[in-house]
Amino acid sequence: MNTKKTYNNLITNTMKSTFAFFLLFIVSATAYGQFTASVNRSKVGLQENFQITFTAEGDISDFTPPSFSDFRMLSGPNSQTSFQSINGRTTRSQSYSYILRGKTTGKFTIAPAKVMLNGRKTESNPVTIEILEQAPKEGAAGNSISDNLFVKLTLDKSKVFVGEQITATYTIYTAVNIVGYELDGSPTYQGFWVEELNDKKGIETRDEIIDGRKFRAAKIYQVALFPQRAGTLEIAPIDLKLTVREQRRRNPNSIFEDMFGGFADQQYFISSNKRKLTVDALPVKGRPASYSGLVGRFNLKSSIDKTTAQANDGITLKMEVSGTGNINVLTPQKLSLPNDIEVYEPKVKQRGGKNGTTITGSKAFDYLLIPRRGGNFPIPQQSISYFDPSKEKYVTLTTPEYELIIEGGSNPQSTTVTGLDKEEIALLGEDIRYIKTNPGELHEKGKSFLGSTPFFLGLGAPILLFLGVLGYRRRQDGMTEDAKRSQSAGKVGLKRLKSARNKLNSQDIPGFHQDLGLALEGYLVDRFKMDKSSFTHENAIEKLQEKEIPQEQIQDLKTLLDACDMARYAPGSVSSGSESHYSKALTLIDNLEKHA
Amino acid sequence: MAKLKFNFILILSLCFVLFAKADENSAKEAFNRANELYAAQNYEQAITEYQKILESGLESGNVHFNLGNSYFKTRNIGKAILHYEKAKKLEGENEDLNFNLSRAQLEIVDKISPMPQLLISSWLQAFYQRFNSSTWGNIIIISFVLSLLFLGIRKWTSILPLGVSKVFMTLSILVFGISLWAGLKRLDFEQQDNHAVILSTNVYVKSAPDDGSTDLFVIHEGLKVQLTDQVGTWKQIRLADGKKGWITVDNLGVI
Repeated sequence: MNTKKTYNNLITNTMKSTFAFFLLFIVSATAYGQFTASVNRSKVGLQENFQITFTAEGDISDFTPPSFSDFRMLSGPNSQTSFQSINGRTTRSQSYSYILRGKTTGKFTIAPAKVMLNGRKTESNPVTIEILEQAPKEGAAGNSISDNLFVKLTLDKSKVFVGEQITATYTIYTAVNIVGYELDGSPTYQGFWVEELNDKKGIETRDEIIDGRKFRAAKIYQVALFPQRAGTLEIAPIDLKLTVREQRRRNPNSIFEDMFGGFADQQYFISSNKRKLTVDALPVKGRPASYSGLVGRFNLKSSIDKTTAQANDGITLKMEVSGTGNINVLTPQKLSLPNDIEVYEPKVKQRGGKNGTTITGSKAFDYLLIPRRGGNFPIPQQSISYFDPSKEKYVTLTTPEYELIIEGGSNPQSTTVTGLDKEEIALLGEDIRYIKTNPGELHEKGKSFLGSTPFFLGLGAPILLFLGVLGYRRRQDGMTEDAKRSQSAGKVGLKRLKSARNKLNSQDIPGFHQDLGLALEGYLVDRFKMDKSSFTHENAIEKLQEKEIPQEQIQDLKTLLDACDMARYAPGSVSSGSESHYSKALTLIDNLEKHA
Repeated sequence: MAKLKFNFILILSLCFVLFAKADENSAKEAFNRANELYAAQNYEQAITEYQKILESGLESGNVHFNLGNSYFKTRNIGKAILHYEKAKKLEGENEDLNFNLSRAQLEIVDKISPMPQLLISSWLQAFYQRFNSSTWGNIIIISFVLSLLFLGIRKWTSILPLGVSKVFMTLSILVFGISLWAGLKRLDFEQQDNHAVILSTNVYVKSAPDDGSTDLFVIHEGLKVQLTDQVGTWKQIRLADGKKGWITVDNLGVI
């Protein structure tokens, strides 16, 4: 309660007896049916007077004052009646006052007065007064302005959570006449989000007894504060500039002053007290992932304007959060939506209000959803969570799940056509090819001919057949080495003949005949599986005859072999016929090969 | 002795053929009925008739082709593509089938460009996809028989000049080898069931086989995907561009 004296302290001495008349505060609201006692000063000197007043509201009778035996009564009872009309209802208030003076020093308690108030026996409060030897000094407690005028800051809670509302109320208590006041700058609150609660209608005053003294109390400023961070925060005082009407000291020399009444207006600057506040952080335990800072109590309503629509039609999803608390911090939720649904930034409608001193409000988000494609789309639950400080718990609100049925969608408006080339666009205009008229190869599902039993039979059968034929032939032939040589005898014979022919070309007649002879002999040995060591022309011819080779061929062979011998053993004797010998040998081998 | 064995085999194969005939006849009737319904533009009923054939356990490329057409006509693109793909799996490449399949694929939403493939491997693929495995099986048998035949001719007869029979024999052995390779590749392709077509209008592909997991991307009806893994009713799918994720099995039809 800092009371600053101002430039002008001309009249501070004159506050000896001050009547608390409120000129400014029009509405007086002493509770109906109340009976109070108050003194105008709590400390007085022996030589000083003081006044005690008993005030009752309502119909009273049988006023019985207490005994004032410790005091000298200078005057009283002075009774006064006033009528007040509030909201069309008239109340009567009656007061009885006495001017008293102390007899001895000390602390005295004045017993309650008794009265019949509205037909009921009622007692006033007792009042304590201190009688001092000397009149209290100038500026000392009891007489200074700070005793008669102060501003008090009260909080509705001493401990809050971050984001929880706390209401700060500044009340002016006065026992002096206030003609005007104004805020000396508005208080700034660091670490709070502030919402003013002041009514424009007017200020209510009430009587309040503090330490036996009666004060007029008036709420002059009230704010709702939402702490933004944890820790110890200071709630700032307010500064007021007050104009107080005071009675001037009587100056007997000044007729002028007397003529215009002994009042003067005095300005004071006073400040309220400050308060420290402990702000608790929100608990981490149980904090939902979607938590965004809401503290208070809220409801969530949601609605959707339609659940069936055409692709590319707009659908409005409305979510409205309402309740008490710091709704301001609520930002648009990011909706979890199917990918084919486009969503635009929501339209936000905020409504604020007050319920007494509690800040209420609602925030509505209108989301425009545009499904880009046909199909069934579930819109999952959307959730918003808040912290309830009274339960110290997090609460999560969820919207119901909506099922959207979107029709159409294969309309070639957007993505469908993109990426098609000319050919494909041409194809888009065509119908599909007609169905097949024959069923094709019907077969058991999942079975293929490849790898099936018939397939392996089909592979195995030819192998078996082949092997069978092979075995059969082998047994018949008794295929031996000789037989194999016999088979290739023709090839070998012809080769040898060819080399003999080379010698003939180079006019080597004896060489040619020698080779020709060897070729024929070799051929016969191989072809007819004869023993090489015992080979003679005679043996060979016998073998040919056994094989039933035609006689003329045998004859040809004989002449050829003889001719070769002749040429070999008597060189020079044969000079002609070499060419015919060669061709004869060729046809001979050819003929013998054909023979089985 | 060998002749006896051959006769036994012949009789056995004949039994197989006769056994299959009875079912086949009723299937053919259903097929013809379905075709008449299709011609009368009564596609819904045609679908049920074609499905009856499949339910009896028989199938053919043409049944799937016609069924695909019926689904296309009823704007059921996902199922149309599924049955065209099944026909392709059974029949190999076929002009009408390729046309209708690419026509149906124009209707689907997702245009996913496949990862690039080596030219040579796409050629080889086109080659073995040419015929179905049964046809390849026939080619294998024919070329095998021919190889043995020409070998026999060379060995034991002289109806053909040695050079000519040699050329024929080499040729048929070559055909045998190639068709064996292609047939096995094709069979492998036919027996794998790791491809599927999306049947739901749209599906959210999840990052894990769990409803609560995050959506990775969305795919739409008619898209062909590869199946790479399975957990309960969840299948891991792989798109042609390599993206992977999980969807539930009720969203797809396995080819």
